[in-house]
Amino acid sequence: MPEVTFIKRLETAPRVKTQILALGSPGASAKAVRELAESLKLEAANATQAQDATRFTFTAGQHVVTMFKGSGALRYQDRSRWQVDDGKANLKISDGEAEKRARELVSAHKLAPAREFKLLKVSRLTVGEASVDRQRGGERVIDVGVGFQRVVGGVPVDGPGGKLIVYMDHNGELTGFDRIWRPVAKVRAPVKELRPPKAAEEDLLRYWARETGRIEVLDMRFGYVELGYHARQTVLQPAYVMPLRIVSPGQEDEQIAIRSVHVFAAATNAVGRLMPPPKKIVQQPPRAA
Amino acid sequence: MTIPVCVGVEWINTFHAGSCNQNNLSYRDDHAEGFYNHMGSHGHLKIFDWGNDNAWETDIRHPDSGGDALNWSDNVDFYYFSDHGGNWSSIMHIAFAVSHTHCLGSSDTWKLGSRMMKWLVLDCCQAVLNTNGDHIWSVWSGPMRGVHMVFGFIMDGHDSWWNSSLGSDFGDDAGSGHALANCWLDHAYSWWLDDNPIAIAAGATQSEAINRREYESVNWFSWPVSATNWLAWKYRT
Repeated sequence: MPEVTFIKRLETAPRVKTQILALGSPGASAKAVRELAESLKLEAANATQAQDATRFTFTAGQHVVTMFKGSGALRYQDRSRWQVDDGKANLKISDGEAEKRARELVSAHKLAPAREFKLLKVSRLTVGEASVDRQRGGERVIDVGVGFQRVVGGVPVDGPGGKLIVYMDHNGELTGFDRIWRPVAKVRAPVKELRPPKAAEEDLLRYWARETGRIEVLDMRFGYVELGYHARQTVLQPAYVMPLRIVSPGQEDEQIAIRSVHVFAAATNAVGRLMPPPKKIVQQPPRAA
Repeated sequence: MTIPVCVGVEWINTFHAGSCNQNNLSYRDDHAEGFYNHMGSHGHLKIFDWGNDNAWETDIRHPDSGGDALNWSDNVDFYYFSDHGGNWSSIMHIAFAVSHTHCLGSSDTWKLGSRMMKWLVLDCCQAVLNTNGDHIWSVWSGPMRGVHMVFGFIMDGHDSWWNSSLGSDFGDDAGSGHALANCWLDHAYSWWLDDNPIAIAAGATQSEAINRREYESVNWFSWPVSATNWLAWKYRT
């Protein structure tokens, strides 16, 4: 059994109205990705379209629009500018200014209604150099990314999905965006009652019981959980989300740790489990010395 | 079209009680084999895939320190390692499930790129502890002996079902010839898990290191790094 420390916990279930929502079809198709490219006013004359097992793509010069088959998630990149250093850019913009500009871009491109998301965080892409004779090229911020979190009925959407991310260059111009935002088709069922956070903690203890060392439960959040680009998901339901730091046995100053996340469906009438079962151990045939 | 490069991967999910004990992991095989298979699907050459007890510390240790790197990690172009990692005394450490012949690999025994390795992914925690230029230089300038680029994380990464497609996504983009640093930063940065990736490129000159950082793809495999006089890095936080 590991030693488990709950650093931040929820004492009671949130008093919010939640529902179990049926998600619609991802709607990913060659036609849908082309229509999105048209809405972005990308030049279609020399465009090419392609697909593989996981995505449809529309490419017009440096502009690439991708739609993921499993989720319907969208991605746009101007590959001549997205995350590219022009050798001069040194972006100095506050988080507030970056959020304001990103909201303008979301509105201009009709990526999501403003009432359906809130700021998640602002990230910065930084470049730097150093040499053997201790010269320093200096560090510069070359882009800013603003991540928004979907909100459904006042409840945030946690997990890889329910995210809208806008990337901007040093001029505040759009260089790319990601939108993982599955459509809600209908209410599948109201949530009868929320399980107490204690039930989530007990589930965590059972799930991680085989571990050794120490587990720090860094937080407990409550929200809907939406999955990432590739996952097929048919139900959006509330959950308790617990970020973890798992510290291996060892000396204090030479510790090895890794982080993970534990998720527990919160509704008493939850649909299935959210957390995948522990994986089976995979052993290869012994390697010859 | 890309020029085929040789790929090798090692990963560890399962440790054992005893001197090499660490907490078990769950998705390291998904990461490493996802990369391996998706690189393969783009025509690259799958050379070795060692997991759990078959992943050995000597595979990355240079012969000058008694290791066998020249026959394994440094006998492929692209080496992807997915496991536990830690960084202390400005030395990167990676954990092994069996002691062959050490439980911990230590970057002060590595001479990455001295034979064939061009790109190293350390898909584990703590390639660097922070973004201070002196720290990045002190950890990586020594081990980078011809390797073009190293990809890793600032502080801890995640082992979770929420990012289990990292290796396959990176393999898809890297394998199809996109700029490697951008591919890594794109897929390894996590808005939902707070993972902060870094890509570090080497060069004999500042402009060479910057050029690699911005534009190098697998198609650059035949342009060697003649000296690691400069490092150029890029990270998202």
